[in-house]
Amino acid sequence: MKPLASTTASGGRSRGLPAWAVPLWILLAVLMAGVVAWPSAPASGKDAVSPRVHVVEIRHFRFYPARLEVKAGDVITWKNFDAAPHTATAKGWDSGRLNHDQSWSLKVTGKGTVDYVCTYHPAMKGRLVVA
Amino acid sequence: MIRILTRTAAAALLASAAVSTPAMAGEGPSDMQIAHIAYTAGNLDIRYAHLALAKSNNPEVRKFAELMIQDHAAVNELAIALLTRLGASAEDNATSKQLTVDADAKLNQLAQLQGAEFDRAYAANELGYHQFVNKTVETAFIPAVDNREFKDLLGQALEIFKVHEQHAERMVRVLK
Repeated sequence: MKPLASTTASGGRSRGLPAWAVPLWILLAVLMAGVVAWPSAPASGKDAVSPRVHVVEIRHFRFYPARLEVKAGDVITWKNFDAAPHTATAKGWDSGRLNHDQSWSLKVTGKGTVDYVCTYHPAMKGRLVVA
Repeated sequence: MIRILTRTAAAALLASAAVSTPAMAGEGPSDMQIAHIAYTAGNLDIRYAHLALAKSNNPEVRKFAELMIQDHAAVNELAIALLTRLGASAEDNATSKQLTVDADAKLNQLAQLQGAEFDRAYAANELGYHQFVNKTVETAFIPAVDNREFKDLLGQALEIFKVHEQHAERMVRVLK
């Protein structure tokens, strides 16, 4: 398994925000990604692929989707819908504790396949395939 | 002895819930009494976990105990947030009191044990406690609760507690 060469965590932790602000934050993130992802003038003729935001939902002690294919440069946001705290943790990055309704984002910059788990519940497994 | 004490608590739980069938509506525990019982049961498991952290050096036991503190505190925080939003207060009752009395006795008993003996007794108690509480929440409390949001929260909590029960089963096997 090849680890991601370099990953950067983007400050997606929403701890401290009121509950209503969390969906708003996600919406904003998605909208902003949408602005980037839909070039209004593809005049350059190049097939420039813009970064996308992917959301992995944590529900019922599982990651949905458990396997996610993304492109280098994309952002993945994990959001915990469970009452129990969870993490998304791999070699090289760690969301830390995500309480109910909290989310955390990661920008992937390298290619490869990365398996991750919830450190509290190691039976919870996910995989990122970065192309 | 472990089982006897746990069963006493479970009997109290089930007795309180047994009269909550629709045919006897109004005589069973109210939503706010159930909230208090569930909250108390969570807090008691946190107390067991703190005892385990104070007494055990076994990594498996310590990891489990840390998870119990984290998860039960999280569920109880959500319960408080819901009650606050509903403008309601959990209502103390005989079952909550009995649970606490039983747990005090069990905590004293566990505190006398050392090393591997403590670890095995803690693991067995956690398994028994979660089995009985889960059964009560699933078969008595969730069907009896009227408030939709509270019912959903109990469902979420039950999902977590079932994971704990499976975890406790593994812990009991490992410590044998």
